[in-house]
This record gives sequence, C-alpha cells and structure tokens, in this order.
Amino acid sequence: MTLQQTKLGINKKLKKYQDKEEYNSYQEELGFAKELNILRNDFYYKMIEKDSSWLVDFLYRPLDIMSGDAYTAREIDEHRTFYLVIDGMGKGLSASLTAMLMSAFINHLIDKMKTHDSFDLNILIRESLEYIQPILLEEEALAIDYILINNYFLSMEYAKFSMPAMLLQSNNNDIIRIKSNNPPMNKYKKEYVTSTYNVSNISKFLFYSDGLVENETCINERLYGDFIQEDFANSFTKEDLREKIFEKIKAQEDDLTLIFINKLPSFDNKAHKKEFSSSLEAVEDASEWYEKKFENLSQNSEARTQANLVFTELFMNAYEHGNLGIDSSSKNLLIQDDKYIDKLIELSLNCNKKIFVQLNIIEYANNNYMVTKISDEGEGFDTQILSTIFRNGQTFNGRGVFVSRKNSLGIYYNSKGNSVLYIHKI
Amino acid sequence: MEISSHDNLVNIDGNIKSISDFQNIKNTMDSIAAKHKKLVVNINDSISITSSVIGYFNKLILKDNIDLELNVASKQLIELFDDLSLTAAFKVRSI
Repeated sequence: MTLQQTKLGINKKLKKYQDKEEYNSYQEELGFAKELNILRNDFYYKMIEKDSSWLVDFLYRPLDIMSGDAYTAREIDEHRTFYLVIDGMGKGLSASLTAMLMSAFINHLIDKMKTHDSFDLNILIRESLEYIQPILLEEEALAIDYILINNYFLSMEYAKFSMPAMLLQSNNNDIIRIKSNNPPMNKYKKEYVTSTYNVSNISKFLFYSDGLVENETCINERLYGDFIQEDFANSFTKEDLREKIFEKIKAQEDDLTLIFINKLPSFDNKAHKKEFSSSLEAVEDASEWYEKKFENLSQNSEARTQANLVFTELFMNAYEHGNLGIDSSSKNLLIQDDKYIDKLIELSLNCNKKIFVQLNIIEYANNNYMVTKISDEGEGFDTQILSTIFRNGQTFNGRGVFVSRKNSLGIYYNSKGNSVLYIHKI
Repeated sequence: MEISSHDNLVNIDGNIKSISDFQNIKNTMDSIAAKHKKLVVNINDSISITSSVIGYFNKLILKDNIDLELNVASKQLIELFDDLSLTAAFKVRSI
C-alpha cells in the first residue's frame, strides 16, 4: 500500500467517525427535545395566586443528554397542584426510557382525569404502577415522588418511593424532613401507602432527586446532603439555592432535578405603589419613578441596572401587549412599516386602562430582596407559549421576557398573564 | 470498594459508588444466593449506596425470596436507608 493510499484510508475512516458523531449528536438533540416535550410544567413562568403568591421554580440538569430524571408540575384545579419527580435507576438510556415512559403515562392519565374532572391520586399511583411493572427489568428500582398539594384544605398528600427526604420550611423557619413512605417501585410489589401532612404552617417546599444530595462537594469530600438543609433554609429563591449548590459541588456526578416552591410575603402597607396611564409619556415617567425609587432603596448598582432594564421591558409589555392589545406579529409588521410609534399614540388616545406598579422589600436570611409587580388591565396571555419561544433562540418574540429572566432572580406571571412579578437581591 | 465472602456472609469495604462496584456485589452475591437462602451483608465503610445495588437487593428479596440482612456501620447510610423507606425491607441493623 502506498503512502497516498494509507492517507486516503485514514481520511475515509475519519470522515466516517465524523459522520457518525454528527449523526449521534443530531439524534441526541432530537431525543432531548422530545424529553422536554414529555416533561410537563403548568407553572412555566407562572405563580400560583391564592391568598398569597406561591412561586414555583425548577432546576433540571441532566448529566447526559438523555436524563434518568424527570419532573412534572400540574395544575389540577383551582385548589390542587400535583408534583412528580422521577429518578430512574442508574444513568443513561435505560434509566431515561423508564423515567420518560412513566412521566408520559402519568401526564396522559392526568390529562384524561382533568377532562373528566375526576383526578384521584390513588388511581394515578395504582395505574402508573401497573403500567410500569411489566416494563421494569428484574433488578430495576424506580424512585418516584407523587405529591399533591391542596391549598383549600392546606394539606399535602404524598407517596414517596425511595426518594430523598423532601424539605419543608415552617413559618417559624423550622425545617421539616419528610421521608419516603414506600420502598422503590419494582417489578414485584403492588402495595403502596400514601400519607397526608398539614401544610397550613409551611412557607417553602423542596422536592429533589438523589443526584443532588449524593454529589461530592469541595468541602472535605463531604456529600452535598450534609449542606442541603442549611442552604435551603437560607435560600429565598431557587436561584439562591442554585448558587449555593454550584458553589459547593465539585463536578456534577448525576442528573440533578429539584422543584422549589416558596410563599411570597404579601405586599404590606410599606409597599410603594403607583398607577400609570397607558401612554408613551407614562412609560417614560414610570421608568424615571422606578429608577429613583430603586436608588433610594439600594446602593447596589449592578442590581439597579438590571432591575431598571427588567422594569422597562415588562412595563412596555404591559403597555403595548397588555393594555393596547397589540400582539407580537402585528408589532413586527408595524415596525417593518415604520408605523409602530404612530400606532401606539393612536391607540393610547382611546385607552383608559391603567398600569399598576408595586414595590416591596423583603428581608430574608440577612439579605434584602426587592419584589416588583407590574399589572395591566389587558386580556393577558398563556405563559406556556414562552417555553416554545425560549427553546428557539432565533425567534424575535418574547425577547423582552427572556432578557428579564436573565437579569432577575425570576419572573412570574399570574394565571391570566396580565400581572408579572420579579425579584432582585439588593 | 472491596468485597469478600465466607459462607453466606459478605463483607463490603470502601465506598459503593460505581457500576463496577455494583457488578462485583452482584457477582459475589449471586454465587452465594445459589447455595444459601439467607445472606448477611456487612457494609463496613460506605456512606452511600447506588440505586442499581438497591434494585438488585430488591430483586433478591422479592423475586428470589432471599432472606437478606444488612449490617451497616455508617450512620449516614443508615439514615439514608431510613429516608428511602428501606430499613424494614433490607433488615438494616447498625454495627
């Protein structure tokens, strides 16, 4: 074989590997996109508004592209919310298949139950157990949390199958650990139990998979499980907790999934409130007012810059999309035709709707947080569309919300989508 | 991790962490389970356990009807078994 032939052979092989790698990475991308379709989150950028506002946040970081973890958060009805965390045995494809099949099946059942107004936690557990048992391998164990919170009866009904203890924080800042009440799901055992816990005194919840607590940290090679209680107690938002986790863990060793729910203290008498008309001048006035308020409340210049940016974006949304009712595609067309500002002025003339702004300072674990709420009198929107928008970075729509999310500790819409709240540490 | 056995007694030293640890445990215990209906496992150091080992122990108990007893040294691991509702199923005892 000549040198030329050898080189040709090597190049051919390299091309083959390259093609295979590209093909695999393409398949993984498709797989992950499907995985995200299977996970259902009814609280995407949403808060639960009852007597108080509840903020529901998630952290989902698969180790491989295909995750052995899965989560789901569903709004069952006016009073009940359902949370599911699944941790398939081991890592990789088999764990991922089990977690995704189970997640898809449970969500399908919930959809059916919601359609017939017949949600029943016990039927859900029994049916999903029956469904997964023939699929599980002989030595496979499936850890799973079924959690139903009822805001009317202030109760939490749960079946935990070998998941790490969930953490609850009481209004007195006590941390309560709730252990599993069932061994892991497996091919053989059909019996299970559910338990109920009174949550009338609870202000924070944390549900998570074992990847989090079994991860080694930089601190004397201790596991993160040694720190989770204290970090949870000192975290006001999921972002606070996320920062604390990644400060400590050396390198991610397993899929990480958590659901963080916290009750926001009500806007009290000390809250700063102001209402604005729907006009371009009011947009300017509101920005100036907000900037001054923030300046008086905090010396943190970085937080101030970020908060001002978020305020401008979300106040503008309340004005143009909310009160004036201009949808994104019309806005794009108007901008293209250079008629956007004229249209805003024209629509503002006949618009009596107001925009309400509230600012509140919350002290938590030696930190101060500024909570800003902007509400309009428009028709609102379905925040689920944001999930599609954010997955496709190319799209122009929703960029303001995306920027706002990046520059705050989280943004949360009410169920109607005409009121948004965001948080900064100041 | 290192594993050794004598009759129906298994000793596990070091941390149970990797897939190869699981394979070692499975190979050792499968060969003992072929001869004995009762297995006693001493977990002398490990502070944690992998889900694959939990799944394997489950199968030994529920499918193969093996009487399994775990003697565990680490308080942390005992707490973990308790958190995961496995203390009774695996007959976990402190040593």
